[in-house]
Amino acid sequence: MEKQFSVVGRRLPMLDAAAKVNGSAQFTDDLMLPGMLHGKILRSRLPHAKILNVDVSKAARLRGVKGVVTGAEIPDRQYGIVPKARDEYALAKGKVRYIGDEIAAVCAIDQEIAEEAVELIEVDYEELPSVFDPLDAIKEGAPIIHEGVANNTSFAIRKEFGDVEGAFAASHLVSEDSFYSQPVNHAPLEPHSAVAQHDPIRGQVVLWSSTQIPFFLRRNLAATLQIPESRVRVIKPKVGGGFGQKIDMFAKDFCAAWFAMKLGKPVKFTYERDEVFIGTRQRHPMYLKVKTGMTKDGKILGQQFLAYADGGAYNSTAPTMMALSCFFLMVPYHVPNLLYEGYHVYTNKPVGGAMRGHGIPQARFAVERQLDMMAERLNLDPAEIRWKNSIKAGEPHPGGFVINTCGFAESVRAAAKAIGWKEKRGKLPFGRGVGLGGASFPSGVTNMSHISSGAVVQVGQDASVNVLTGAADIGQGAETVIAQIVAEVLGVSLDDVRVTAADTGATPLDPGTFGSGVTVRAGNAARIAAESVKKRLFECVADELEANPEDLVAKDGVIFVTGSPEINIPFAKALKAYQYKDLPMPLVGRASWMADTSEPTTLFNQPGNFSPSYSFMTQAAEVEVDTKTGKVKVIKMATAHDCGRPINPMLVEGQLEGSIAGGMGQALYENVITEKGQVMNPSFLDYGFPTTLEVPEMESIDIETDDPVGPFGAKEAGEGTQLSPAPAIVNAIYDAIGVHFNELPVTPERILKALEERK
Amino acid sequence: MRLPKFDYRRPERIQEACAILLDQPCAKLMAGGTDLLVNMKHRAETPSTIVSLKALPDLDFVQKTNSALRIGALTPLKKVYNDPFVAAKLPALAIAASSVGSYHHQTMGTIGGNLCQQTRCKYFNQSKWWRSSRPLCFKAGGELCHVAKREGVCYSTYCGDVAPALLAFGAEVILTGAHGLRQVPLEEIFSGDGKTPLKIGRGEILTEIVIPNQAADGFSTYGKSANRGSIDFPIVGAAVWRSSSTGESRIALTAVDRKPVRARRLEDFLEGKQLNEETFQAVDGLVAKESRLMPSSIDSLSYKRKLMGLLVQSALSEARGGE
Ligand SMILES: Cc1cc2nc3c(=O)[nH]c(=O)nc-3n(C[C@H](O)[C@H](O)[C@H](O)COP(=O)(O)OP(=O)(O)OC[C@H]3O[C@@H](n4cnc5c(N)ncnc54)[C@H](O)[C@@H]3O)c2cc1C
Ligand code: SF4
Repeated sequence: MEKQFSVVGRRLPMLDAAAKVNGSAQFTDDLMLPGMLHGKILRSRLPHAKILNVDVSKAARLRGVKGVVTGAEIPDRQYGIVPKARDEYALAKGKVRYIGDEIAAVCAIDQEIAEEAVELIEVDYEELPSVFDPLDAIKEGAPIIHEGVANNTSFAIRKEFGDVEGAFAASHLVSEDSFYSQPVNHAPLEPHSAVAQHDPIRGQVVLWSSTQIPFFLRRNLAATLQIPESRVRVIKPKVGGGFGQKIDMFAKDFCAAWFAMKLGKPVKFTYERDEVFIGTRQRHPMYLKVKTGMTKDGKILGQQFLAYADGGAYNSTAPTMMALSCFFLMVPYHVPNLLYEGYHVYTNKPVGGAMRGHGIPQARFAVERQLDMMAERLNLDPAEIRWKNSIKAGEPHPGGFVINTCGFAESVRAAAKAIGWKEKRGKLPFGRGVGLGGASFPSGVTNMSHISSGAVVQVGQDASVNVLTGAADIGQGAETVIAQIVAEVLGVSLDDVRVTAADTGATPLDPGTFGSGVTVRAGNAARIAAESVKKRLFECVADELEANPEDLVAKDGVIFVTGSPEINIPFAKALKAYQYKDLPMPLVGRASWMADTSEPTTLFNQPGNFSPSYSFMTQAAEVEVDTKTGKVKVIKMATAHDCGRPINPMLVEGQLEGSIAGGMGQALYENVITEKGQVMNPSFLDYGFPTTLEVPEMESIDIETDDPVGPFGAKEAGEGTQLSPAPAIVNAIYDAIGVHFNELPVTPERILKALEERK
Repeated sequence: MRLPKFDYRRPERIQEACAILLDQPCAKLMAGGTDLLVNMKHRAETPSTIVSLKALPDLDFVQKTNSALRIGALTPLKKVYNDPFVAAKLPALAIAASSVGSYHHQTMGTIGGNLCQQTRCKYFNQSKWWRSSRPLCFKAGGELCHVAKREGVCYSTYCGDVAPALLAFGAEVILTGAHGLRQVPLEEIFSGDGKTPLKIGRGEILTEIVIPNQAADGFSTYGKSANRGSIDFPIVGAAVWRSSSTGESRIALTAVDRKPVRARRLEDFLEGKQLNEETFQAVDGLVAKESRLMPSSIDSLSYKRKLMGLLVQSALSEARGGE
């Protein structure tokens, strides 16, 4: 059979793989500009306090210090990623709300002096009572963290679909269980960094930043600096992982730009590792109560949720996070009746934000655990319960989602088979077990004009292809995937394509890397831009090939007539022909793309179709519990994954392997431990996420569907697989030792304690 | 984080190094630097002068003599565990040295630096800014200990991996000072005081480790429990040595007190006894008595306590297998 595609669907190494391996790839902190100054931020040492006075005189007098700025001097303009939830200043004004809150910044001729200078800043605090647990923070009389926010509840959502009470009344079994999911840090290898330079002639400040969202960062930076967006140019160098932690603006971005503008010199801020842990973002800890009603044969009739998210000191993405946590309870299972009540609560702790899965991992852990518990109570097979409840493509959806393709039921069967479910579940010796978990995730967001992507594809005189895209490659391989799409459309090889990306001064608008929309959104923009180039090239060579333009195909470097490959012209020659005809050069195609839908939604008000497509997956784990030490070894993890048609299966596997390590961390290793609001383990040594030595054997099974919206049928592959590894592991622990763990992480200590209690 | 300012000296003779130490009370020795430099970046240690040991001749060796195995203090851990005699005859040492940190620590870190490493505490091994949330603790120059919640004490924990193996071997160390050298049992260089954990005279340098031949005549092993398969300090570590000729046992633990400890009560109890399930019964209780567990790390004390008994028991049952 002739293979359908030449570049798409192939396991090709990332375009920048070699540069990253040999060390020549430039990350933000690698940038050195002539005369560059170094910045450092003074952070609060108290969890909650009024700032009475900040005396910077000693710092300013230190030799080599070039600038000092405090919260009092910056414009009175709050920022935040969700417009209605803006509650943050780059440098705190009047009050600090957690240990790590930014108070002032200095810049100096070298790092040592900058570090010394921040220590010379004297802050008069009036300490305020603090609160560290959301369940305490909502109580009457709790300390008020943000003026005017009653009960510290900055966002509440209540959604009901169908009739939950009726569903419970009709149920054979109704179970109510409580769950807790811990704070987890993204721990990207690259610490956050920013370099800014002011160009007085163009009246523009240029910011290089380790960011996932160059264009949103431009907007936030312009707003907080109170200058027009056109005066800010954000460029994203290589980014060493983001996982959602880099979708906000941070003090380093603002302060670098501020000093660069004031002093006319380039300025760099790079965070220390403890600043990354404490002063950026983390996955929200969440308390969840889940009540589920089922029929005797395990069909879900209704579910009711009560969620309290510990937001820490600021909102970041709070409303979106809570809404996602709610709506994505209605995939991958058919939940005909749902009542969700969720609260985002401020505490005097590090700030919660988007993290791979964004509010869904916490909820998914609760649901996937409870499914297993209910399966047991009903004496049913947990795998069977999952495929039985699978939503189906085309079926009406209670939340208004439009599911075009869905490989979920198939993924349950495939993952179960790969782990040896039939032979193993309930049958392995004590200490060994298997478990599974399912999930679904959106491929970006529909119908929001500010979440659209542009692309420009340009063919030069030498037939080389240049792509301009705003998409932010943060290590996942977005530039490679976009190049593959363009190469496939034009029928050229990947080597012929050059990508320039993520520079707000040069590339078209793109919202950035979040919500797993990049391949579908930026990929579609690139596809359409390339198609328009192709169309004009076909029109130009059609005469010569004595065919209609519609009958031409571009593939493997040649343009030929469908069915008659011998009638052809090489791509480079076709471009020559285009030039000889004196058609205007360069040959450029442009496109802007956003996901259309008939029922748009932001989820906050009305339901609707949130995303152009939804990925589905099941992960199955086999674990071994050392009943003496309590240590859990994950032996194998099998993933069956419907991400539509993978553009690059190797990069999909990269995402998947990373999410298994992340899921193991969530299940077994990671926890941002705080003592009175202070993070006790803000280092790679003490935080202890799993390393390559801990990662198990991994098998990946592709459940290919051909999505009608995505480029070449692709759906998301960036976040969904992060949802189910943790519950799969914890479900496998149950199979191994017969203990239900509903709180994360499941540490060796907790395992030993549980085993003792069982005796 | 940047290093604070310091003077750097690189003497080429030991006497010169000792003289600098005597002359400058705030000077510190540096071997591989893998322990010291991290503390300096955190400003937890701020020596005025660093005296590098790297230019001193003849301290990087593993040498078998008639009566002992001698190891120079500057020998990298990797060279120690790769030594054929160590690997074959002193497995506890080989296992311990190869379990330190990651490969990088094993190539840079020295055996002398490993023995002399600082004690650790969750309130101490943090950046200066982090520590500013609380009053300076006793070890760092203040009054209060945040672990004991009392003034004038320090319960920071000794976490070195190599010391228990060497204690179990009955090793001695040579300390060289301006006026010559002295050989003392390894155990004697540990003060048991968290604030100043080493009992080495001013101006003295640990130059050599001497492991008596008797150590090679017996079973030995080291068990380490750590969070992950690499990088991490021990949550608890335990070394066991059992003589093939006399049946004598020596047991030592790390990460359970301000110094590495010998489990003497257990050793005495095991004297002349068979290793069997019955004798193992006593292990937990006797081992627990040797430690002074304090919440100086993020690991739970009850888990540490369980691990102590567990590691010693499993080492002893391995020893039984060999008998
Ligand atoms: C991430 C990380 C993980 C680690 N994991 C482990 C672990 O698992 N197990 C473990 O045991 N250690 C661990 N360490 C600590 C350290 O790396 C090792 O102990 C190493 O062996 C220290 O040797 P060094 O030569 O680098 O010591 P240095 O840092 O050079 O010195 C350590 C201390 O000993 C003193 N000193 C050095 N040599 C002498 C001498 N000859 N005489 C007198 N005093 C001397 C120094 O003044 C200093 O106070 C870890 C460190 C890090 C940063
Ligand atoms: S045990 Fe106490 S004195 Fe010692 S380092 Fe820790 S807090 Fe400081």
